Amino acid sequence: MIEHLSVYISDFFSKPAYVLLTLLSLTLAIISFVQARQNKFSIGTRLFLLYAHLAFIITPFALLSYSVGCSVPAYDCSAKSLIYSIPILLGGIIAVASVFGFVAGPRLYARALGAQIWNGTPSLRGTLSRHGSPRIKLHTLNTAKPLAFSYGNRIFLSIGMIELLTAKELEAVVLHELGHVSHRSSWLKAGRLVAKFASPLAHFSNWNETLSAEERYADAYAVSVQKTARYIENAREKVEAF
Amino acid sequence: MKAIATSVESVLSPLENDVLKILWPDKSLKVRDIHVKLAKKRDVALSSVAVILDRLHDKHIVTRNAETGRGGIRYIYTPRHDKQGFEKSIVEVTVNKLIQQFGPTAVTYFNERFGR
Repeated sequence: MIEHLSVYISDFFSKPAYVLLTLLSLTLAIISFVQARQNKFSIGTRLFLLYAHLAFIITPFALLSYSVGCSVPAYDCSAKSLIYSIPILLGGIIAVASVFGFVAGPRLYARALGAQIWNGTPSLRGTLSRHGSPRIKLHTLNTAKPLAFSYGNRIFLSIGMIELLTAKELEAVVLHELGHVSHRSSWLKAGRLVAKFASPLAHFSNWNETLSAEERYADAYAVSVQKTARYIENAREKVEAF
Repeated sequence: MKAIATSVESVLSPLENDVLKILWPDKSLKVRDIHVKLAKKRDVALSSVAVILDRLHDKHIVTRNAETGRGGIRYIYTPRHDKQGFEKSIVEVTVNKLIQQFGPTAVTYFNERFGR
């Protein structure tokens, strides 16, 4: 089996077209990866670049599998199958990642955590209707640890967080999470997770810087609505003291 | 040989002990209610009280139930036992540990000491 594989691989690298395409693909993978880390781009652009990076990482493997397939007589080794196989493979990966990460993910995550839908206090409902959208759902988590995060259009707040903060501080936290929702931070996080599994380069990347920028943006959003940093800072102090 | 802790004060931290002292007569209270009462005696932050109650819950000394009110969702904490029951449970745990560790020696000692 290993002998056959080495024959297939040496056969693959003996063809200049494959080598050229592999080098081009890896170069584009590096370029798109470096660009995806730039904070100057919008989240949508960065996600596109991240998935483009994954596509370029996978392309040499698709070419290799096509090359191996050409050695089997029954395989359709026409140029048509090469053109179709790569986008189908990559499109499939992106579609599966998108469906599970962005559509089913938040719902499954809420269920896995045992989170309960919460209508919120009257003031929080007002905040959500003014600054959020009807699609945004609040959930509570049954723990005394103060936790707050968002995934997709769902905002998760622990009971510990709700009982620890004043109404204004809780509003600041919800606004912070609304900042994440509007900035689609969780989409980037999910994309990063997919990249971590699929791309070797992702392991050498420092995404903490990106995450800090997301947190700063979410804080700035809460401050811009409340016209003061007092409540979000108080909330952070209380959470850190826990 | 290490001293064996049997009194409430020696098995709980001072803050845990103070929180329980408030909970025992009142039976069921919210974090904020306990904080208000405790703040009259000592300088303590709300988050510290919440931490202590979470710790007592983890140790199965108190139970909690979520209750929805006007201000949102709150935990209502209730002690599992009254003070006497709690002290009895400490003695029970300690005696069990002694028997587990020293076996027949501990049983013989208890027979000699209390069998009179």
